[in-house]
Amino acid sequence: MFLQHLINALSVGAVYALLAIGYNMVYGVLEKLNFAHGDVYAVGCFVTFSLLGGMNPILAILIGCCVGFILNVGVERFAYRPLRNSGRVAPTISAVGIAYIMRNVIQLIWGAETFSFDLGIFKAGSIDVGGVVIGTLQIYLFIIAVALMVIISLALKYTKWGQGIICISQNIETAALMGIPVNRVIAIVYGLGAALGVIGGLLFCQYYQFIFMGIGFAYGTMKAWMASIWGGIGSLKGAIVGAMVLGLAETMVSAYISSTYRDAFVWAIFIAFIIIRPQGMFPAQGAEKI
Amino acid sequence: MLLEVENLVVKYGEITALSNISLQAEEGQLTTLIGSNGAGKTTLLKALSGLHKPASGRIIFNGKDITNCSTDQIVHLGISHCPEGRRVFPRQTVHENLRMGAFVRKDKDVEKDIEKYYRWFPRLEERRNQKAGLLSGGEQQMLAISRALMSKPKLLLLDEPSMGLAPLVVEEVFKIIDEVHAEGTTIFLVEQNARQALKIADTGYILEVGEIIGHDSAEALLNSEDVKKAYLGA
Ligand SMILES: Nc1ncnc2c1ncn2[C@@H]1O[C@H](COP(=O)(O)OP(=O)(O)OP(=O)(O)O)[C@@H](O)[C@H]1O
Ligand SMILES: [Mg+2]
Repeated sequence: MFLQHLINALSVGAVYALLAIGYNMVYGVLEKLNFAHGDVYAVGCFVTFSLLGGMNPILAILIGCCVGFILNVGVERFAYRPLRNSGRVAPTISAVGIAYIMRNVIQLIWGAETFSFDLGIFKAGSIDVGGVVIGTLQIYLFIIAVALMVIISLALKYTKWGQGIICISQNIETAALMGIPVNRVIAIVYGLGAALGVIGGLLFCQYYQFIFMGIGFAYGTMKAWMASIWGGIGSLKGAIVGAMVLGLAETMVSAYISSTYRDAFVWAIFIAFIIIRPQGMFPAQGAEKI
Repeated sequence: MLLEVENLVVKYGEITALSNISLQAEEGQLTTLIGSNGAGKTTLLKALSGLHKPASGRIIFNGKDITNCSTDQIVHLGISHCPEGRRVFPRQTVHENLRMGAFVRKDKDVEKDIEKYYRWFPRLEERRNQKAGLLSGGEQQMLAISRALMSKPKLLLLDEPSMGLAPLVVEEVFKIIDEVHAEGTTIFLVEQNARQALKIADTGYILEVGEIIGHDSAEALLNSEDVKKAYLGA
């Protein structure tokens, strides 16, 4: 039983990590809390959901990712860039505004119901590992999420443009002096963050087998924010570790303490943690505490 | 002229930091601009590299008006700005910092050029895989200069490279600037350390609260009584 819980925790954690990486990348380059992250990618998830049935699911996922990418590039251009130098409060309010607009768009087009959800690419089943039966879906989710994380880490470390993103996250002016087209790169980072969020959101919906208009905020932005703070804001490693810790905490609390009061317990643990260590486990150098 | 600045006015909001500046830098020469705290030296360099847009006036580089170009376009055109306070990328290694300096280059010789700067600065090679944030101030300055040179600029802008360094390290930094100049790079050097800067420069400008108040050959400025009194502490 414990092994099954552990596998569940790791796969939920890995899915949260995808959500948190996109969120944390945006935080890393601009030091702005992106409270619109979840609601923007939720639109992409719903687009994929609508297309499912009518076409190859992989294609539907790609289109959803493109929608998320384009939406977030637009949000960056018109809601954040004009406020880039106006402190932290204005962009945060702007982000909350975008979040509401996106959620209302979803409500307008798809309504407020909860729909059952299945991408139709994972065969539900289980495998037997030395007498312990483990669900295969969880293993698939874990593998996909980890593969994406490895690709992103390698791209950041070993490609010229990945290194450019790292420069921007340290100092925008100096990055510009290297000849990096910072505005374009920042827009692309926002876009990629949302595209990654769409994949994470879809895997999340697959795990719980439902989709509804609230997935973006409650399960996206808030989880990504918690994971980033837990792990250390502005760092990739922090986002991944924080998301894993969040997945573990949630799964273990609902397995061994109470599934009804899971969120209350997890928040209590979380708050206790940030009081003791407000900078998170692996903060980026020079990052501040939240 | 490689660089011509005509009637440049630069403001921060309502505050005028540079009022009607005109100056020139000739190809192959080392031109220095000296001025004390708050004179507007950094502001001028930021305007030249497109980080801060001037309110009026023109900047002509290599015959092209770059006044309204973005910073990355300006780097592509051949201006490299080594900023005040070095600004190495602290979370990246020495080697990665040098590679970022070559961001605009498309040729295959980047690694070869990095090796060249390692020969110039053996201390950088020893620390090639160390995070740049862990280097000493002098080492960071060597890294910042090498990084700026990695783009193979036609014009190198240096903002107070001697700031905050021990006297011996200052000597070393000026020796290096002199060598870079001897190799043929055109340099525009902004400094408070007037004596050292004028010693290696060809021509010099004096900037005082946003205005150019003097311009002459470096030698003449070194021997001028006014300059001696105000900037050379004699
Ligand atoms: N971001 C800014 N906002 C408002 N005023 C500024 C800003 N940056 C510089 N200034 C002002 O512009 C003037 C020139 O500053 P600048 O930094 O160019 O001087 P500097 O010659 O480089 O001085 P230092 O030797 O101390 O580096 C100063 O009066 C300064 O207070
Ligand atoms: Mg200055």
